[in-house]
Amino acid sequence: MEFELTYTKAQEDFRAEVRTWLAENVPAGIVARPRSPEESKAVYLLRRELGRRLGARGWLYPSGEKEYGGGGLGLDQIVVLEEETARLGLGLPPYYDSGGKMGSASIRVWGTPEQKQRFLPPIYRGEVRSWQLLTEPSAGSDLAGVKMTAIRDGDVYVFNGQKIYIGSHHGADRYWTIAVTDPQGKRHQNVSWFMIDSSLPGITTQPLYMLSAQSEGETDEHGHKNIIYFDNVRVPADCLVGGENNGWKVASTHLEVEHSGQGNIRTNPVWIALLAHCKSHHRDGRPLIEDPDVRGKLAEIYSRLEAVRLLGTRNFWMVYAGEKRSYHGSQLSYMRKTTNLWLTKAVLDLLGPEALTSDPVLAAAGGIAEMQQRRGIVEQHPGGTTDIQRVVIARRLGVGAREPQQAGKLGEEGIARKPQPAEA
Amino acid sequence: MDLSLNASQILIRDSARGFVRRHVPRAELVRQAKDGETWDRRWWDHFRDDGWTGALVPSDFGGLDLDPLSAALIFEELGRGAVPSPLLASSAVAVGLLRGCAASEARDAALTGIADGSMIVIPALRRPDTSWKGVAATGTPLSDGMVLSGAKVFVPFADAATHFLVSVLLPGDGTPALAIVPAGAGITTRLLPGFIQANHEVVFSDIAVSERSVLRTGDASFDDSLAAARIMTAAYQVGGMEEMLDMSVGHSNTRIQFGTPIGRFQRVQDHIIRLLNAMDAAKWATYEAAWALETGRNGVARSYLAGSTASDSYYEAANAAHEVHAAIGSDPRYGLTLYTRISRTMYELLGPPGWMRRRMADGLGW
Repeated sequence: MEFELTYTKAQEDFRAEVRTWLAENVPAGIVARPRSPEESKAVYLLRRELGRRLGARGWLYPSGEKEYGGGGLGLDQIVVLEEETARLGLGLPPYYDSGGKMGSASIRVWGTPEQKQRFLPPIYRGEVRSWQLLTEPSAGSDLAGVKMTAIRDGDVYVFNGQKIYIGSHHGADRYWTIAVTDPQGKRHQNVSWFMIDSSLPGITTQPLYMLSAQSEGETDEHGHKNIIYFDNVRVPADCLVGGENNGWKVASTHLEVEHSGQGNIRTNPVWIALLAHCKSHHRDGRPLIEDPDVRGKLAEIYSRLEAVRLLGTRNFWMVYAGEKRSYHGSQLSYMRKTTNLWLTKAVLDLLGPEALTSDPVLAAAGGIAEMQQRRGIVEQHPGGTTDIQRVVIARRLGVGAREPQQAGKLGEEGIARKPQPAEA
Repeated sequence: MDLSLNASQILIRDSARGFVRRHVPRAELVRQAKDGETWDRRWWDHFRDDGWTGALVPSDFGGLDLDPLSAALIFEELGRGAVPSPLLASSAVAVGLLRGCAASEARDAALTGIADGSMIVIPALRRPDTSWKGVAATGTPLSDGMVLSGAKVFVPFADAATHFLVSVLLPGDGTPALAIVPAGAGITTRLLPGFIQANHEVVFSDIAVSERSVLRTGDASFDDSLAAARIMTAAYQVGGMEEMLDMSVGHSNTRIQFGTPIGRFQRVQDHIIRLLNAMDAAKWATYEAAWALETGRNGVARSYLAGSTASDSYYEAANAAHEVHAAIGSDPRYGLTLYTRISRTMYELLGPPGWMRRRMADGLGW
């Protein structure tokens, strides 16, 4: 076994090319923490502009097919791209684009050739930013229980309903959403997916701020969510993806991407901040790290985080090597979520009330500890709760079933034969 | 990056798996446990013939000198079969200690003897009156005439020993050292009763220790030289968890209550998932530690992480398996308790998890 990535000459050449390009194209201030809505908007626009430039090279969605504006790149190059953007504190895309990621993955499998041609290039080129719209006030873990209706009326579907806990700040151009197309139909046989233009008449948006938000307003991406209302919105019928009332099958692809704890090989930044804090801060006349209690607790934290990191490495490799995954994505997601919630108390034990304040003087680890106290809680629900992840793990293991459930199919592998229900 | 096993590792794993399947039926282990037997001596010939006794012994002394991962795969399969034997104590722990000692005639003879299967060297470390603070702190003081007297406790498979590797403190300055002491006159062993597998009290009475049988540590501390042994131990624990997972999934799909397999109940599923997560955390910490040790990436610190994670995990996994199985799991005839007992016995085999984590922190240079 080899746990580190090693790079070929071709990869290192590609890295040099990427690094040079990023140095020329990533503007200063793009990772700055905005202090006002105006600064926030400016940073957001910088990121969108970078997205378009990346998109023009096929680097925004490097795995997307070239003919649709993706990079058509293999994992060897994608790894390098991700590493080099991460080095600058950026992701790919460099903004929240959930509808782009999961919508494009689903359209690749379920869209018609015409739909692929229409929907994928704007996503891959960074021309549009898209959000996924799944959750409703009465449908969270029970995705099949969505109530928003999309009723066929000639050449359009008429949407009525609302979605909640959606997106981030500064709006989106497209919505990737699921709605009931047959109100009389059986559960799992009554829903469909749509890629919708967000500027259609009848769509209104109201922000809402989660515990992880630093403040209310258009300043901070974290914790900024939205309620989106649909009031007799007329959506062209050719925006329906995957067949009318076939949405539960399309969901198997969407949820495979969303539930899957995608592997990565990065060290947890909270850990880096905690260790640095304990080395640099003194209490009782000595660095915190020399206090045996602190050392013991830090070692416990490190061990738990290492388990998560190693499962991330495993999943990363499984994707990299084209290994078939079953329970692995949900296991990583479950471990990450439960460990981060556990970490909130461990950090409080470790650092005391300094972990609870964002006060510029008293805050531990430059406020990262306090942020973790809030995010550790908020992170429990997105992409499937811990309970939903356990449902998936059990099915994939074949517990309580005649045979283990297969993973939802992705990309060019074809079409999932089995739906992957998301209910508990 | 490549987290797959190579062809020779797959061969080793399959060979070990095949041995367990053919020669160690669970019913026989249940009978042994019931009758108070610790292991089956006949297995040793197989261990020797396949070179497992010398898996970690340098080739200069007739060993296979396997890379840590390849050797770990043997122990993982033995752990999966809950195979009780002195192999871990002699061919991993004793070999680790011996490799950490400065070369000497006695040390080299012991390594050679372990490799060719003629010697079973059992480390005798813990004293009844001390808590675990590493191997060096367990030393029994030798009297001025180099005479060893006193008890060592929680010595695994002492009944199999041809020799003991005894932690001692040398007369005069109290330097920690190890002494190779042949089993025999002046040494009594007593199997400890209770929920513990094949652990003994060994009492040494007026044993004259010759100067040439005394081994001193080389560059590394005794504990650091046990890096590979910690990884082998962790692998054995991982194997046990893998079997408990299979047993639990199987049971949950065949045990009918309320008219349905109990695996349909999410509370039962939760126990299985707890087991799975504990197992995978330990497995990947173990594999990574083996790789780190092989490639010079602070394998010592990583081995403490693997050791502490595997001990915590095996304990927790066994609890989860019992929650899945309920009453039948606690019936010794079923076989789950073989694993449970090992999960407890091995919990502190090379030091408690908390101690290992502190050593890890030191090793990571915090």
